[in-house]
Amino acid sequence: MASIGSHYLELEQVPLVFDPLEKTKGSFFDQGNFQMFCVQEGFSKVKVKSVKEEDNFNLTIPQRGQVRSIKFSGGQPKILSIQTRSNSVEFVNVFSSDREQTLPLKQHQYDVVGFHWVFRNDYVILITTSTVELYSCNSSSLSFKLLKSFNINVSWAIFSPTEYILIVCSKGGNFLHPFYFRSGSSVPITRLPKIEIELGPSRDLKASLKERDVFVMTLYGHVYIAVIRTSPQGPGFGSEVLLFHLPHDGAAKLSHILNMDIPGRCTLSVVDNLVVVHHQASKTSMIYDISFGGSISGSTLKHNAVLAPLPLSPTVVHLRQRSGSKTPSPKIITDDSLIAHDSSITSITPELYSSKWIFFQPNVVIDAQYGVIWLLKLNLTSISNMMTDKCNVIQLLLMRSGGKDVIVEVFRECLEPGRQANLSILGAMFDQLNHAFKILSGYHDIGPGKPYQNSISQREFYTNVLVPFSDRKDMPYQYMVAVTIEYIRSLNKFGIQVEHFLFELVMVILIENKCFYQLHQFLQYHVICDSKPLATLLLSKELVYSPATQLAMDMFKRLGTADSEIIDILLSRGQILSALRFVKASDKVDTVSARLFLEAAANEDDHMLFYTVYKFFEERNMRLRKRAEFPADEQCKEYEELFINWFGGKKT
Amino acid sequence: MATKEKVKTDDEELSVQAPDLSYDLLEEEDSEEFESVEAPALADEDEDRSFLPVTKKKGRESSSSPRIAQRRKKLDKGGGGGAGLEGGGSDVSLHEDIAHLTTDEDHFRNEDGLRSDMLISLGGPNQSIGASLLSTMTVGEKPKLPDADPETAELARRARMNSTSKDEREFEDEDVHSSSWINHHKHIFIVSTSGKPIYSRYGKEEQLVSLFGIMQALVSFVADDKDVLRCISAQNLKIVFLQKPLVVFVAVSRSKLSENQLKLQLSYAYYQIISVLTYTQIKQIFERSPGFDLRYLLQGSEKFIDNILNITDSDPCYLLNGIRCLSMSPSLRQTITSTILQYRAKEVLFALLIAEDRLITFIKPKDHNLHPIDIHLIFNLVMASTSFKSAESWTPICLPKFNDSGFLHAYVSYLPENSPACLLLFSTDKEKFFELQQCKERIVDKLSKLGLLEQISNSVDTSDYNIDHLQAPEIRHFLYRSRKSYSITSPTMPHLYSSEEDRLRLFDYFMTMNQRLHSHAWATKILYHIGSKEALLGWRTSNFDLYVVFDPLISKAQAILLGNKLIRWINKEEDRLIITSTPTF
Amino acid sequence: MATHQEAAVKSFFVYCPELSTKEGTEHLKVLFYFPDTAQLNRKIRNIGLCEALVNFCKTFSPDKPCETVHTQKTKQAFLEPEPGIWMTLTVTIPCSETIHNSERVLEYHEHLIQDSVVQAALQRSYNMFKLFNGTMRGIEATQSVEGLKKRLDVFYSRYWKNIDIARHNIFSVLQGIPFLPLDKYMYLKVHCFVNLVETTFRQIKRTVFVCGDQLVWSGLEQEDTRIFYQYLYDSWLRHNPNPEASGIPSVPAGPNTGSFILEDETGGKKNTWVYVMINQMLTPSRLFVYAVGPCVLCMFVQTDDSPGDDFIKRISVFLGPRLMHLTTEIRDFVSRNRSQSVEKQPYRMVYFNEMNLAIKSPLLSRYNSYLSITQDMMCLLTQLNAEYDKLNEGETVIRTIADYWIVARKNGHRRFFVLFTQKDVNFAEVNEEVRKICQKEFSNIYFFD
Repeated sequence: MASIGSHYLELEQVPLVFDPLEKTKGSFFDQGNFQMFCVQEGFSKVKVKSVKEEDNFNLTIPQRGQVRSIKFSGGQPKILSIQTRSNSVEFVNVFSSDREQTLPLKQHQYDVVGFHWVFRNDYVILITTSTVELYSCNSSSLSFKLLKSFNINVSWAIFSPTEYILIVCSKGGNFLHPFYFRSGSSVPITRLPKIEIELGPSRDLKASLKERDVFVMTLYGHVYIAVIRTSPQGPGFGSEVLLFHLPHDGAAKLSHILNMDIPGRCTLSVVDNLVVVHHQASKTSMIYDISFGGSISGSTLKHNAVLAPLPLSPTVVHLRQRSGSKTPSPKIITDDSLIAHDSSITSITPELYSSKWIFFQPNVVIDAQYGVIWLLKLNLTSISNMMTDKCNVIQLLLMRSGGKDVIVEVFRECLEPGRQANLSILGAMFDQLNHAFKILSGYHDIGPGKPYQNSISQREFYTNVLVPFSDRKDMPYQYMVAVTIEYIRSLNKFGIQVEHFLFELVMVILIENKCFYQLHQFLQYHVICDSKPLATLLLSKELVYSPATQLAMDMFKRLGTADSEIIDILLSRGQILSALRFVKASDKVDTVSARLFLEAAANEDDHMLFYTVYKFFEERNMRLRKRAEFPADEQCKEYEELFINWFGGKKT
Repeated sequence: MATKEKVKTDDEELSVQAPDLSYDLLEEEDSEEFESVEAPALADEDEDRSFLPVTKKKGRESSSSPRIAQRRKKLDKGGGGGAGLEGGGSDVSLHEDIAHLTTDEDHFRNEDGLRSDMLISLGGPNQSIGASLLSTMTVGEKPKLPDADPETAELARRARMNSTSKDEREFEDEDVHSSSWINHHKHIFIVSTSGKPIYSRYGKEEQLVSLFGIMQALVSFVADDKDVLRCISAQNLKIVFLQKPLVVFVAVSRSKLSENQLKLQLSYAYYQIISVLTYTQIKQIFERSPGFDLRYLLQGSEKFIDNILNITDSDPCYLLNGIRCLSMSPSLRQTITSTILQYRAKEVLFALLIAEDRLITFIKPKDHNLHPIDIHLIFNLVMASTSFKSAESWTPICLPKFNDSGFLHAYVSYLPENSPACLLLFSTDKEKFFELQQCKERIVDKLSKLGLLEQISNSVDTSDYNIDHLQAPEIRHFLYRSRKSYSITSPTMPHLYSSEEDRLRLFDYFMTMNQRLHSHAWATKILYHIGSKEALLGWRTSNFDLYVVFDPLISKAQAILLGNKLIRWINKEEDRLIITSTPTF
Repeated sequence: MATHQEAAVKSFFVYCPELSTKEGTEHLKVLFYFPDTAQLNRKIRNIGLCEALVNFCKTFSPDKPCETVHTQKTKQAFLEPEPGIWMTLTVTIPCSETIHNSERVLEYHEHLIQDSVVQAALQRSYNMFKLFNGTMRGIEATQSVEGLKKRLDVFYSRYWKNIDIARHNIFSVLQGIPFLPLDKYMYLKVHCFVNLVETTFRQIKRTVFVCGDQLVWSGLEQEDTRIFYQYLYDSWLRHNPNPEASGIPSVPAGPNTGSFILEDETGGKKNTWVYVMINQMLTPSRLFVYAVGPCVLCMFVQTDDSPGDDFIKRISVFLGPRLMHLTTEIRDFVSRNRSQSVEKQPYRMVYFNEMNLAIKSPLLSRYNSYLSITQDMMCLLTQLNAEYDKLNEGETVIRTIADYWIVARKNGHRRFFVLFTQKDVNFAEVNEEVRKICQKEFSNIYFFD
């Protein structure tokens, strides 16, 4: 990990290398299957590269000249689709036989702008200069049937294989026509209302939407069409990103605007629901989080970058030229141990933001020069370190899939003696945390939930944050208690049942530091919730703090399910009459074990007491069975005898 | 003014709680004059000299006393029948003595006058008690009694001395520095206002001279501020001071008794002394020589003080101001009473038939009263004396509530056939020994003719009762006191309460309940208390006080139920359980 | 009843026997004597008498010293708060002049002034001294006997002038602390606020939060809290009766913008020294009391150098808005929950828990003047309370001659007294009534008959 503060975005290398551009007659990246096609001289040989080594293979395709586009279908069998001519696409089941099958639209009247597989190998969407046509595909017979066709003057189109969204830009105007594919229905395509894009003041006619400025992205489970445009104030004022929220039905509408006050070309990625804007001129990137409440203007939210722009973290690629093979292709070495001493390995540091870079959605970065592919990643730690507002940090982290550990880190930081955070801030952070917890644990009764990715349970917070500090000498116990109580307060705020180990922690600390009266006040106000474990803990503290007994008793009483405990305590303290009174008060007279009480009374070696208890149960016997004697199953024989030799028979 | 304050305050404190005390305060009133006497150096004086002031006729006194003793011996020896003849001689000698003493009587009489005026002015509180056992009397009609004379006093003292076994007092030789001495449940000290030791319940007074000195000093120190030292308390320790003319009584108590109850107990000690010496005697003696060592005159009667203290420590009746009655069939009691009435000699002022500490019956003249305290003193006399069982006796006794200036003379004799019942006939005249003796004979004859003697003994043996038949096992014990007749009944102590500790606790219960029910400040009608070992009910009406001890787990509802059930039963049985009326003549 | 004289403090003195060893130097023992007007030889005499009483008592109770002495006209309480130093308080028994047998006599009502009251007043007078001056031995050690005498004089000659012993009763004996009933979350808010204050200003070692005349939070130890609350009540809360019906009085003098209140004994300064236990050590610290409306925040500050005005400014800037916000929340809460607040019950009852000194009684509250109670009955309650000190548990039901009913109950360190003035009820009904009250009040604690 690079030094904190220099960057917050990293490139993670994908173990997939392909022949650098100059070695091929063209390389094609298929987002859908994450495959790279490298066309060799003669246009008949194609190397197919995948992330998995074993999925790499070579293809031989019919010699028909320049390959314009090539990709496999999804599903089985995998159908290879190639476009070599401007107005036709051919389909081959390369795996079954060489039997080649071209689409019936041989010599289509229009030039093909693009084509994409939809839902594995079930459908093909074909975009021509004037139409958008959907075909169903019978993969076995490789026969195609036209299902639907729209007439549009297409200038370009983009397709999201993940969301099955097609955006078509019509010629001339600045209109975007979204299409949305819904599986299941017989004609699984829906045309959504078109969107007009204001291209700012610069009124020159040439100005029109460029394919490279439009993106389909998913943020927090919603589909957006992102459009980069120079800010309305005109060029030089930097550009902004318009985010159109695209519902599965109905019109898309502008919902967010990301301000970037730097002019010049840029492109977008999406990492973990954050929008990343890469600015080529300055070779920096910035991140935006649309879940952060920005400034509201009308129905849209304007957002600023979460942090100041910084370059990606530099990365190094280690390559070994394969000797022997006549078409040598490099191999990536990831095992550092080899790298050290192996002359055949060359290490290169690709230029960041080079012109050879191609960005694919959501976060794919391809360097055509070296034939390497990266995935863009966030470095949450540095982000959280760079952000000053800890509450925002927590919120941001709560919405990142990998945020959990970092959150723990952040809290640890805040508790670190010496630079302990202000309680009010901590309180706010806790509220963030528990809000997320509440949402994720399925309560929706607390207003619009933010799209949280994770949260921290009480147990996790306790073991990972509190415990490590609780026994640190340099940690002032007051602060420790204060923090825990603050946390408990926050839990209460969201009506989350506080778990007993938190209370236990508070109690133990307070008891250790002899703050009994304070503890007492907590219990008095029921801040510390009742539970048998706690009551028992209290009971064990009786010697250091006598009121503990009373507190424990109260708890047992409130629990309502602990009558037997209460009775045991009273008996163990020789308060046998109190025990009996309690039994009467909670009318359990007929059910308690006489033996239990007689035994206790006998141990007290107080004749009068024993007499009283004995008579009490004798009376019970009379009431229940019309006879004073104890039934055998009560096992009171010895006490009957004891009574007789102390008081001589049943009479006084 | 100061004196009034005394009267008033103590009166207010005690009139309800222990009315009899209000009467004692009368003495304090005129006792003011003695309080100025400053304490003399505690030089130990030769007995004779210290006795000098009492009688100018030392020679005669000393000559007479042997004869008295001699006659007593004869009586003891001779017993029942022989007494008549032997007594004849002794009678004469007695007569002489008295003849010679008249002058002294005259001398005292003036004071008597003074005292009775005072009685009139403050008879009020006293009367209410006087009325206790019998129909009321009009205030001030004290019977004309010869004021006590030293010789009779001496006689009374010796009578006490001889009537008790000669062995040592139990705690006499205890080391006063031992922790056992310090931790006694209840110390009682009596000291003269001049600081002279008079009595210590435990240990020899000689060893405690300085302590006595301090007690007296504290009292007089406070008195200098026109104030009265009443009580010092530390945790579970109470030191109560009762100030009588010329004598201070101090109780050092670890018991639960209230200040006033302790005062009452102290006054029992006081009355015990009076019953031997009479107030007049004490007053005169200290007038003559403030530093006088009263112990000389109390010699032999310490045991009576010990005894009355022990009783008041254990028998609730004494502090509850009631007389325990022997329960017997009403008809039997009726016949006995009428028999005694029928055969009483005119010399008989009072007649009592008692069995140990229980009253069977008694009769009295219309216009005179017998106060419970006086009866208790009589009980004490009989119980503490061992000799009565073996022989009839003729002994002077002062009944302070009746008249504390002079002696009555008691003919004491157990009924024949080792009957547990003891008959006492009182006369104002010290010469009426034979009349009373014969009176007794007649009564006994009649009783035996009627075959009652045996019945009496039987009913004494069978008088104890328990309340099992009430079918209320939750009631463990009770004590009932009729507020009309001041008589008390309560069943036998349940077997459950065999231990000393438990009995003491019951005693304390009765005392604390009594304290609450009759508290002057917050008199209470009903008191219900759930304690750690028992539940208690105290119930006060215009007719009775009832104290009930319940099983601790009893419910309140049930307690109320049983309380009523019990009182219904007592009302039904009242004639058998207590003496409801006393015939007069 | 012609004239009536109420109980009054007759004398109070502090003495140290060991200070005078030989005859004729007795005057050295006297550390403080009230009233000062008394002649020296009078002082010496009375102190001598007290010593004598104490020593006499010692002969029979060597380890448990003499506690009280009754004379016909006075009741005296003794206390040895620190080894060798004794305090004695003498109170005159209330008396009235009546005509008895056509003579004017004084009647002393000794039941109207209870031992427990006198003893409590004495103990409290010491506690208060200690709160503001630390221990006497401590002062003696640092400032010599003369210094101690001065301090005693400064404090007590002022103190006793303001004591009206005749008004003391069961409450002054129990010295309980009324707690403001808040729900869990509201309480947590307050507590977190306190934490915030303490962690923001590290010089603030302890904090006490009072609302109206009820405690919400105390960081002090229990005994200190009890004493401090008494002080706060007497010197501030009591004098600021509640204009609102909200059940929590606002403090007129403490303007709603929030400000420092409470001048120290000598007046003037904005902060005063108090001695409280901090980390098991009796420590002098400066007391700052800041109020917004009914909410009073007491801060115990420890600084080497006296905290300057800037410190005060910083605090008030910090506290002002926050405390104001909190106050509003509490006000709303209380008015929402007024219905079940203890003020509303028509019972003449007193509930006290020895374990946390919590006291609950409508009789305490200013808004229940309709719950009048005669001095007699008040004294009876006081008396019963004293009796229950000795009991671990038990119950007493009393019907007075005036047909009042009183029920006293103690159970697990909790005691409960209730007085019924309606005359026509019987034992069973009273019993039922009590059961209802307990149901309502104590259902959530281990307390039953």
